[in-house]
Amino acid sequence: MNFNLRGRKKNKLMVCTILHCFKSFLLFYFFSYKQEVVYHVIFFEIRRNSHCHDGLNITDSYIMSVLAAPGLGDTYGSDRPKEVYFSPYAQNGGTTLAVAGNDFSVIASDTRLSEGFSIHSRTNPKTVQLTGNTVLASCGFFGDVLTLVKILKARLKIYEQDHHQKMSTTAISAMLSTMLYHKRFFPYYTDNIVAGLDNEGRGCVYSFDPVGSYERESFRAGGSASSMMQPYLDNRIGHRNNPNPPKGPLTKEQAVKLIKDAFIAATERDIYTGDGVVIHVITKDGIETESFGLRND
Amino acid sequence: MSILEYNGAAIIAMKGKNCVAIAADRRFGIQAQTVSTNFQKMFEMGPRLYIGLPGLATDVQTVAQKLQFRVNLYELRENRRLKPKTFMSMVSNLLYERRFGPYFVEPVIAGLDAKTNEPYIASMDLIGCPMVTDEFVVSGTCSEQMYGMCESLWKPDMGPKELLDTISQALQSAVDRDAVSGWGCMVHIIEKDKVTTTELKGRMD
Repeated sequence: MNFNLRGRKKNKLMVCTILHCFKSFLLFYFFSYKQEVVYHVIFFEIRRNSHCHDGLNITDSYIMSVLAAPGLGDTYGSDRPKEVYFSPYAQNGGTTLAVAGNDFSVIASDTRLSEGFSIHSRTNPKTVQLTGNTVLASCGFFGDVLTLVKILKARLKIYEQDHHQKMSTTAISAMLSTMLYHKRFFPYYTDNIVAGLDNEGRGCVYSFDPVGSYERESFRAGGSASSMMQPYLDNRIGHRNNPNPPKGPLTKEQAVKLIKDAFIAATERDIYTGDGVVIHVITKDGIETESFGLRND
Repeated sequence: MSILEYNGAAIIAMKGKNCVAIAADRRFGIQAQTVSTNFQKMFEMGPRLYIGLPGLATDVQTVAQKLQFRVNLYELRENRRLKPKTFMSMVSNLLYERRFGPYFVEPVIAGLDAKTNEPYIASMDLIGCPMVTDEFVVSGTCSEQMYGMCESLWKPDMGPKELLDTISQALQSAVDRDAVSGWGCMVHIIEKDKVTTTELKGRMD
């Protein structure tokens, strides 16, 4: 594809005409805009066109960046080359939280789906049950969440038909890590937490970054209010900075109460968290799900 | 990275029953490098009046000195103690004078009224927009973490002892999830007849 520059600004043509004996050259434009010096680099190869001596053809593949200074003649009818943007990601908010106990794990998410200052849905949990004892909580860009869950479920079905058994929580986590890393250079914009039971029946929680780094932990908050919840969990479950920690292991009831308190607190300050929480309690007997209302504002 | 996050800081103020608390971390760093661990970010502006100044360290010290000067001048002129609310206006005015070239500090004020002993806390943005609350205020590089902690630990009408426990745990747990603040904390519990200062040693990393 060629951009014909015929009829462009006269000074450009003059520079080009002066230098048209060169086979090719690089043209660097430096110009300042609003006191801050912006270096826009035009990396054109300009060729002499044998059919049309006053015209210039610019080979598409050599264009690394085409400049467009905001506010400088970008209006309709401008002959300035225009940069066109496409943003493949959105941020849809949502918060997830998981806690592992001795023989259970609890995983929860809020039910608000938002973008900017608007709320798309108040009834959209970010948790998905993957097997009889594994639940995934995934938030971030909801389009990627949907795609990831779709592919993940397909992979789980293939595994089940190949091996005549359900995939374990540990194996699902390992597979999810590789699936995320396979999109290392165009990642799924998602924050994932997997909760379930390990092969010995103990509660387990795995947390992931968007490109597949993962680790097993005993508690983890993810998503938009994670920075508010994580120190609270450190304090209450990890007993950090707590001079008199409670005795005995964490019970299911305590875990559920802590999760509700964490969500109530986060909802007060984070606009992307609210409306409701869905809490899944995973034990060897199955998964119990409960819902809990949060502020709607 | 914002200039407000260049040196790192975390400050909380909380209201209790007939008492207030103000707590700050002690780190002074240059981005990720810790330079000292006994940096003063809270300043006494009266017998029961404190200000915490998180932000750019050079501005912290400049603003503290300018405020001390104005407080001294006020007390000499008026021959009476400064009320916390008046002090808040004074800080706000000082910051707004630099509306278009601000000091990079976001102050937190805590004190008891010189006459009525009424608890008072307030915070401000860097150009002096005040926010007065009845519960707690936070400011610094880990404000989200501090909000999360305070929102879940704070409750109304705490006594001085409980207030010390709450503010200490809130600040320590918050700075433990922030790379540029922490390295020890200091807490002032302000009551009508005394101010108790406590030094905290949490994880030093």
